[in-house]
Amino acid sequence: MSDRAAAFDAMEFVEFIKTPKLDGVKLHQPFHPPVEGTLCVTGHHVILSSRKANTEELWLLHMMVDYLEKKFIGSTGQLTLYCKNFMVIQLDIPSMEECLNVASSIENLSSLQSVKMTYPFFYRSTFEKLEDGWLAFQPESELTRIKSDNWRLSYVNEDFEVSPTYPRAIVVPKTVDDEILKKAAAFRSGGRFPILSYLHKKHDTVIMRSSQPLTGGNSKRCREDEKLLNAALGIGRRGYIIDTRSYSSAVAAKSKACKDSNRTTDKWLSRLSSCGWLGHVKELLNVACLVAQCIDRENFSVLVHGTDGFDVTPQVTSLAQVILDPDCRTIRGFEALVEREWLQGGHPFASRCSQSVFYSGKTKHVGPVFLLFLDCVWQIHQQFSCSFEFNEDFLHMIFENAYASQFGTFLCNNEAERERLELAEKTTSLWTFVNRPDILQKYLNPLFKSNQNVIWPAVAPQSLCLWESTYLRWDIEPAPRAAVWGAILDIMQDDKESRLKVYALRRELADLQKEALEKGLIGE
Amino acid sequence: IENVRLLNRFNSKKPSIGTLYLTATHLIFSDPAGKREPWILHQHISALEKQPLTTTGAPLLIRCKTFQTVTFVIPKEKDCQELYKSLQKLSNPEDLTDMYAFTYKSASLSPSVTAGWDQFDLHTEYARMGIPNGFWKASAVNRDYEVCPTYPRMIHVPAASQSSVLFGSAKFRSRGRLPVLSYLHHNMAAMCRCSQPLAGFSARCMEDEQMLQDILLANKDSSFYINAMVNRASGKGYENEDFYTNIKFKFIGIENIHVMRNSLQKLLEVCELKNPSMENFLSGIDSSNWLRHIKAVLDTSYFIAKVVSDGVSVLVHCSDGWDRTAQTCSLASMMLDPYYRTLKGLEVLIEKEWLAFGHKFIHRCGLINVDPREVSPIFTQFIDCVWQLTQLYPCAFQFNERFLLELHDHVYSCQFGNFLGNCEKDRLGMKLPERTYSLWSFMRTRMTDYINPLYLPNHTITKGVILPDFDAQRIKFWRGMYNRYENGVHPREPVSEVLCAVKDHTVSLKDNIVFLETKLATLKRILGKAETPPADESDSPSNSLENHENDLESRDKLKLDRKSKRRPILIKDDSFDIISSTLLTDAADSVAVDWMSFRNIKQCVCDYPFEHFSRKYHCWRCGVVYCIRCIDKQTPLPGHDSQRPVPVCKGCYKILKAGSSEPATPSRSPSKDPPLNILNSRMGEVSPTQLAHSIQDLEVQLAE
Repeated sequence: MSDRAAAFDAMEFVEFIKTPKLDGVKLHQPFHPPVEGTLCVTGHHVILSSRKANTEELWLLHMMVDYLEKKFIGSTGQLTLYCKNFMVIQLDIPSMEECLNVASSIENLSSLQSVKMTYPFFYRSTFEKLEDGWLAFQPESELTRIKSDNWRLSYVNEDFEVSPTYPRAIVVPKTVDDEILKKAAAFRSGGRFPILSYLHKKHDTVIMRSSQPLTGGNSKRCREDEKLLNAALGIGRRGYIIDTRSYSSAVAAKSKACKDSNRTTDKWLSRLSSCGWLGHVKELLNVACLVAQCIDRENFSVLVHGTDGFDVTPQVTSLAQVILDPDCRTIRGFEALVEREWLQGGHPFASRCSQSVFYSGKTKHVGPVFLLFLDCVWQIHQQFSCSFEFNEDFLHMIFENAYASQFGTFLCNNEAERERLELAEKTTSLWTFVNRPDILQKYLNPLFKSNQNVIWPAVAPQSLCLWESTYLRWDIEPAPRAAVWGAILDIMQDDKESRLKVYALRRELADLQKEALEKGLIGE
Repeated sequence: IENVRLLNRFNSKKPSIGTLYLTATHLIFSDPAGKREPWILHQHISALEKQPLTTTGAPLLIRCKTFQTVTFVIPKEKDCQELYKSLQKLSNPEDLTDMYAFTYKSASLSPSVTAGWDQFDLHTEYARMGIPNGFWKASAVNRDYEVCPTYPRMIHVPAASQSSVLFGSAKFRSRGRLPVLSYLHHNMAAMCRCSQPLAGFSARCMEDEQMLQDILLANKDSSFYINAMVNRASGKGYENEDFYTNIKFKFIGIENIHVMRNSLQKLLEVCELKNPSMENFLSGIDSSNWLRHIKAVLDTSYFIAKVVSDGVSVLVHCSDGWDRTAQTCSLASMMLDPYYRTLKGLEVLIEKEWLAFGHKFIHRCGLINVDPREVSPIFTQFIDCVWQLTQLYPCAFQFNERFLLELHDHVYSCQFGNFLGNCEKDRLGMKLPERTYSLWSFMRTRMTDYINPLYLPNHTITKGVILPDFDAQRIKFWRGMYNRYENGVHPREPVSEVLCAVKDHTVSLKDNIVFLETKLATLKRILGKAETPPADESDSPSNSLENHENDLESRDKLKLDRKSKRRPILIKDDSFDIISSTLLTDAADSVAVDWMSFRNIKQCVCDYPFEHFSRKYHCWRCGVVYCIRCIDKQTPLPGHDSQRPVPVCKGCYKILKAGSSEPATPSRSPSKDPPLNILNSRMGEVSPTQLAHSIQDLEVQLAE
């Protein structure tokens, strides 16, 4: 963070920051010995520095703090910060008053009401921009990717009036005009009429998504809606409608992603089972496989809808695409998928990710919907370790950025809001940062070998595991895992180099042989 | 019996129909297409169950000790009844001499059955720990198995202990199992094991107390733990703390064999649920308590290892000192000493802690018809614990999951003589080395299948003592063991298999690189372009090996490289009579640069289906994937500098043999330095001398 920005911060947030600087604070972090140093509370960060080796021991976004706990032992205050990435750290602050000050600052700053006050608006990237992530995955370019004549881009929602949560440009059947779309929109909750989510080229079958129909008590019909669906389906073909509502209510019942950090050992399994998280993972994978099966095996098109069409629906549609579409298993393809199905599709990131599992207050709109999706992707990744271009750290990085970030990508609830705040101009996109070769390097899966097939994951309970590196990341010593990946990288690298060398040498040998033959120095 | 249906658990609508053969040792099912062909060893059958008649016939459910269950539907009930009876008889031999081991003839092992039996020697193992030294000695008091029939003849005790003390202590301990040394750590802290004292409340035994004092004094540190895994409340079988000075006691509750048996039973019921929900599955595993028992065993082992690594000696006992004691002592040794995390080391550990100290394999594994209350999955549990350790430290172990599974299966299979008998004395009486094969020599012929590609013995976190963190969260259900035969539940692209293939591939390529470089040098000299002397040339391969791990193959490779350095380049010119261009190209191209991916390969070209745990092999010449039966040939490739035999498929073998007018073994093949890859060979290609050589070779490498 530049000095200018810091000064600006200080001005802007001065009312919240009662104690900007504090000496003699002790930090307890998982897998690190406790360090003592100076604590700074800035507009967006909690920073602790021991000033010894010129390194920051802690540089934490306020937004990352989910819940904060104060305890007093004598005159020392103990501040425990529960973070949205499941990290738990503890700060020992020598004075009780200062402790309260720091606590209230963090509490206020971690729940800023105005989006414009958040860090992405203040963050100025210092790295070289090779490509603007905001422009990387426009609907226009995505449409050309599917290369089909039966679909077109409609700008019926250009002013976000037909559906406030849909993007500006929408892919719909070519034969359907904008008037029909408007009428169909009136029939669907939130104006979210059926749109194209994925086209499976093998059978020309499609996944469509929408919200629930507003049938009312007397099961109203809507000709336009039917027409739209028929057009999507093509003539003489059958399709499925997969209604995820019964299931979505289960997720809405707030799957409190197991608070794993509690090290209660004895009841671990029963707690894991009763928190139901893995059950949700299994069910979601099941539904996604069902959709994929319709598309690939049974040759049916599918319309997926839940209640609003922006929670469970993108979970199902995007997971089905990970199963079906090899592109979605590449880094760029996965980014495009998140952008298309989640961000442009209007998943309300701001509401869903405003708090996480530690927060105990009222959280009506909060839910780890996106995390559940990432977890399912990880499960498939586990089973097909060589079919993904990215590694699990990549999923991890996306998860953390969805909850707190210096980038604007996951701010707001839908495209309309993002346009209003001019995020593309005022903030940096996560993709801008990630899609640079030196950063991408970290997220490449050394085992990756492009797999053009549909990958069918196993969904038996035996096959599903807890995503340890996320939920238990702060409880598990990271060294053994790092050693594994180091070893894998070495093995693959060694092989790659040998292979190149063999090719080069064989070419050289062939050349020399030719030369020697011509000169008659060797025989045929 | 014909027209038998083999039911698929998940898809009962599509049974495969085939013929069931009953042989003297196996039950074999084969369908006409040859797609599925389960062989079931009679010894592996743990339970038979006739199920109610259906319209298609009489179903017979077979459960195996390898956690496989199959259901055959037999058209005629009479046949089913007969099959049931004969299997019942065959799977429960009354007498040890009926065992498969006594009739088993191996094609791949050396004809002299004794090979492999002399590999382990208790004396050598203790010598490895530096014994005898001033504090510990070998004692021959048990020479005739009179002091303790279930101990080995040679026991290791404190140097200070007189024979009278040993005798006295033995009388005081259940079944004469007096305190003896199990493992001596390099910090001189000792791990000893014994059985419970026949104490009652008031009895005391001066000799036993003296014995423990001796153990105590054998260590510089003056504290000492007794780690007793007994139920203290029952009031018997532990030492009276007042009588033993300077000794701390730690009582740990690990449940007895009956609890373990029931627990595993429950676990298996959970595994067999049809389409369980996540909740049912997890709560089922939870209520089976199996993972909790695993954790208890691991926690105890951790405690022992921790104490020993802190320099304090420990005496471990449960009741008889051959179940829980064997488990915890071996696991603790494994955490303390990296040696026990190697293939050879695990073998030694089992020979020592389990076989020598008398774990009752016959009874616990139910090898013959014994009292069912004596049967308990103690060894299975141990293997499970080892697996848990490998999960926590994937780079710390030389062996892989396949090794653990095969070891587990062969303990039950009775195909090899190692586990026949409850103690050394029993086994000695049966003259096993003369009459049966040893499992270890069998496993050595297949060593490459058991190597963990991620093994990094010199990494900072894997060398020395490992003291893992056994949170309940980290103890996992081992689907590879208990759901092994359900192909549907396993990862589709298992990382370790891929890595093994990649490593083999790299070895092959590097060998080819050396070949190419020498040929290039020759050509350059012919063309008058030779810029630099051979020093430059032999540098490059060793450079590229710098960051390579010290595993078997690369060590082997290094050795080869060293050899190629030694060989002056001029000799090569002579041996390679100059020079046919086509031959040279053929030779260079005889090494496959790209190997077929394992992906989507569900069966071998011979139609043999690959199960999850069956290893897939690459032909090093054409790079195609084959099953074990199709890749039984080993021959050197012309494009390999080292000229060591490598696996090739039948087709390539023919081509190679036809192509070379000379014998396949070239003149400069190094006979004094037998290549390790002989261990690759599986069927009948290994001569006894070769085998002996390669085993020596392996040992040298392990010792390094």
